[in-house]
This record gives sequence, structure tokens and C-alpha cells, in this order.
Amino acid sequence: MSLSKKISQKQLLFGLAIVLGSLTILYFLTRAYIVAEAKESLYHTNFRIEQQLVQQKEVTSLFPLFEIHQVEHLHPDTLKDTIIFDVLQNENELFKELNVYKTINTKNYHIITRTLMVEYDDTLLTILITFGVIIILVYLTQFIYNKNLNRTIWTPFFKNIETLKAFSIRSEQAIQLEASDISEFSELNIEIEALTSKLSTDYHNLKQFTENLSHEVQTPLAIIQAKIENLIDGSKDLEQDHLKTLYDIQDNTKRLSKLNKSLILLTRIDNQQFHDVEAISVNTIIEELLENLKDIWNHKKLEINFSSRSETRILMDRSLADILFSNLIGNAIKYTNANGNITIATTSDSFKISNNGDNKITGSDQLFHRFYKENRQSKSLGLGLAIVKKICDYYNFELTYTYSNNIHEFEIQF
Amino acid sequence: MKILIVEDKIELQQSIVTYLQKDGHICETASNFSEGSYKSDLYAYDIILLDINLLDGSGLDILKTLKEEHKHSGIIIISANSSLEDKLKGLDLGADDYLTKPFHLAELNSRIRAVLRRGHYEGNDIINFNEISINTTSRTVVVNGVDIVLTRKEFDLLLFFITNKNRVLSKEIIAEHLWGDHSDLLDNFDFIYVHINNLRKKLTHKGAKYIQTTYGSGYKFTDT
Repeated sequence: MSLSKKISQKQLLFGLAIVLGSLTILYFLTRAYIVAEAKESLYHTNFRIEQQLVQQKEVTSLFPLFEIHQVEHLHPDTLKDTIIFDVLQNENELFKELNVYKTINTKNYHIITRTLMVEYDDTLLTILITFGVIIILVYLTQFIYNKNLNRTIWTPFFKNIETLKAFSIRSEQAIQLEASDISEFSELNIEIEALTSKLSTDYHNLKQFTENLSHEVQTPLAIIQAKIENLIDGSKDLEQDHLKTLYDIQDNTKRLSKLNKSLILLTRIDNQQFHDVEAISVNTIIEELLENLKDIWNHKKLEINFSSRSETRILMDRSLADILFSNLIGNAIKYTNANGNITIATTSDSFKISNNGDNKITGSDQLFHRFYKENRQSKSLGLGLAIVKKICDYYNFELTYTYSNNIHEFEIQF
Repeated sequence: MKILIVEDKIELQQSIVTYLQKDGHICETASNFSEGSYKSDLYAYDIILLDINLLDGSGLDILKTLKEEHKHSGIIIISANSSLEDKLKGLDLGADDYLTKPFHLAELNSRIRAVLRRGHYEGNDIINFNEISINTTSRTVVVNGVDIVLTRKEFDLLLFFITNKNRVLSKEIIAEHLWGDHSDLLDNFDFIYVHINNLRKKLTHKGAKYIQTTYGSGYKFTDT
């Protein structure tokens, strides 16, 4: 729920409660007051009548307002409500009635005084309604005013939320937030600016560090390789197993170098350093690759079927295209057992490669993660598919892997 | 041949010198940008190996100057950068070839030879080794006057061997020369053995003996 709505909702409910509450209290208080006033008025009239009687003056009854009767016996005084037909209103009305029994000048009198409650009730009603209307009006005006106030006060805040959404750590520019004279918002702005600035700096530093590290690594590797090669070259002076060791070192240096190059590639793609796009003919790349690797797959006696329904052209960086298809096709060649079968099919917007394999890949949800190797003993780096995935993500190609009927299949939708 | 090596990593520079000197090349070195500019300007070299990422300048600027002054050296750029843009920039500026570190010295040797051939400095298209004659332009091989048919890879292999004759070449180096990054598709390098055997079969009986196996999976092409 939005801020505005929530505040409004709470305010309205609260307002409702206040209105109802105050009306109720007002009703009871006013009523009590009115009743007290009515009673007092009755006693007052009663007293006046008593005074008249004490002075031996004649008092005539005026029904229904007051009646004076002489009676035999005294009874306790009562105060009660009665309903009497009122000629003036021409209907039954509620009266409050005071019955007083008193001995005055040795005579027993029963004095009845009454007052019409409806006037009082009308007054009560008018008071309540007036009050109700006023309080509701006041409340509504407050509410509307608050709503507008909220809107203006919070607008910079909402704008800043949008700015934050659009912000990227990678951008070179600092975040631009809308200023506000409200101290809390100002404070928030300052903290956000500091935080994003630090994040950006950290990110750029890390990026730079990774790039520098990779480049630094290449030089010692180059030196190691060169020295080993010179050593091997002077091998008439070397013992046989020393020679073997040197070859092993060379192998591992090659691995390190490949690892380093792959990591550099991954970071480069992350940093979006591949801006060039050309129209790439996928079929040509595949054909060249197959031709280049012909000896290898022939040696394994693999059968490779390549079919394309139409010319497939995609827009991307050429070197990335080479790497993408080279990794997928190379993997297929590497991981298909001898005498196996590889099928490659392209359509105008997709590329599919499948090979037969007896074992389902157990970690298929991790397949595209860096360094994931299905066979942990394998000498492979585990980066090939991670690179494929990254390239696909970069160009918004959809990459899927499925395994069914003993066939591994990778498909790319361009 | 006279070769200038412009590289600020001294150890690497010296390793290259050691390797190339074995073939009888005269090697001179420059360890920074100013020395590199100075020497390449003052003297004439057949081949200049140029490192792009020098500490005090870019090798590309030396390249530009060389081209502006119409110097006739063959230029090979070596760089720690494997980015395509740098590669294209270097080649656009007129470099003859481009190698990224780390590289095999045997590979460097091949490239130097190729550049020399293209520039026609001792650069015949024909390379002879005893009775074997290789024509690099037409990519044909003649042994004792008889044409022999080699596959593309077999031709590359033979050329690589002869260019690096008397050098020990490990299977790994050979695989990398022939298949580049794809060399790791081979489960093991026994495949290389098969390849080399095929080549041996196609050469004469005497020729096959040139390809010697050294212990620990290496090969040497030699007639000694």
C-alpha cells in the first residue's frame, strides 16, 4: 500500500472513531444536563406553588403543567416520566412528572408538576447534529489539507526513489538526489550519496584490481614458459625424468595461462568492453570450426551432422562469436565418446547442438557456473560454459540445456 | 638475421635472446621506450619484436614512427593484452604479426620465419632441408623431386618442424601450434603421436628418421 493511502486510511478510521466517540459523549453529557435542568425547573415550580399555598392563596391547576389536590394521606415523593395526550401537539407526548405530598397549614396537599420533554429532546438533537456537522467539516478540511501537504512534502522523497531505481554502480557519475528542507530527508540523501559513492568506488577499484592482477599474472607466466622452453631445448644436458618434469610444468603453465585468459575474458564482458558488432554468419563459423578440428573428431571416429535450414546471421562481436561456438562445439567433441554422434542444426534464429552421452549431468542447474566440473578429476577448467552463458546473457540470447533419451542438447535462441 | 627485442621485462627479454641466438641470429635489446625508439631509429633490423605495454610508453608509438620513416623491418608485436582491438590496431598500423603473452618460443620462431619469408628477406618461398623442399606459397612439398600430398595440418607440422629444426618441441607446443586454443580438446597428446606417424609415413624412409622422439613426449627434427 502506498504511503499516502496508508496515512489516509488510518486518518479516516481515527477520525471516524473520534467523531463517533465525541458525539456519544456529547449526547450523554448534554442529556444528563438537560434532565438535571428539567428536574430543577420542576422543583422550582413546585416550590413556588408551595409558597402560594403557605400564604393561603388559591392556586388553580393548569393541566398538564401543574395540578394541586387535597388528599387524605401523604405518600412518598416521586419523580417519573409519563405519557400524556397533549392537546397543543395533538398527540401523546413524554412529560417528566414530579409528585410532591406535603402538609401545608394543616391540610394535606398532593402537588403534581410536569414539563414537556420533547423540547428538551429537540434541543439535544439540534445540538448533536450541529456539533456532528461542524466536527465532520473540520475533520474533512483537515484531511484534504493533510493529503495535499503530504503530497508536496513527500514528492522529493518519491523522486529520489525513482532516481535510486535507475542508478547503476557501474556508472561513472555520482547519484543526483533532489534536495529537501526536511532534515530527515536531507540526512537520508547524504547517507545515500555517501553509500553509493563508496559502492561505486569499491566496484571500480575491484574492477581495476582484477584487470591489473590478470595482466600482472601473464608476465611471470610468460617468463616461466620461456625459461622452461630454453631448458628443454638444452636437453642433452638433462636427465630423462627432469625432462619429463619440465614437460609437466609446461602443461600446467599452459593451464594457468588459459585460466587467466578466461577470467580476463569474463571480466571484460562484465565491464561491457565489447562494443563492436558485426553481422556474423553462424554457418560460416561452424563450418570453419569443423574443418579446423577435422583431424581431432575424425581421430575419435565421431559422426558430425551439420544442417542449416537457412542462413543464420546474428549481430555480435566477432571474437565473442568465435569463442561462443568454439566452446560449445569443442565441448561436444571433447565429451562425446569415440564413435559417437554429434548433431548441429541452425535455423534463422536458433542454434542447436546435441551429442549422445550415457550419463545424465548431475549438476545441471550448476552447469553454467564458473569452475563447475561434472567430473571433478577432469583437467578442464570448468569455465567454458560459464563463458558461453555470459556471452549469451550479454546479447540476451536464451541458452538452455536438456537431457533426454541419452542425448545432451544445448540450444541458443538468438 | 639482425633482431631487435624491445621488452621491459628483462627476464623474458633474455630468454628470447637465448633462444634466438641458438639459430645464429644477432640479437639486440631495448629495455624501455626511449631505448627502443632510439635503437630502432638509428639502426636497421630485419625483425623487431615490440612489446606494447612498456612502462614509459606504448610500443605502438614506436611502430607508428617506424612506419612513418618507411623503415623496412618486419615487425612483430608482443603484448600481454589479448584484446582484439589492440590486435587490430597493431596490425592496422602496419605490424606484420601479433603474439600475446605467454607464448611459446618455438611459436615465436615460426612467426619470425614467416614474416621473413613474406618480406623476402632470405625470404624465399622455398625452404630446403636436405632432400625435402617446401614451397610456402603454393603449400606443396617435394621430396627427391617427387610431390608428396600432405593434409593441411601435416603441412603445417612439417613446416613447424623444419623452422624449428634441432629444437626439442614438446607435444604441447606442437598441439598448440596446430590447433591453437583448441589444443585442450585433445584428451591426451597421443593424438599428436598418430599425426606425426602419419607424417613420417609420407616422407621417405630417410626423411622419417628426421623426426626423432625425445624422452618424455617431445620431438626433434634433425639430421644429426
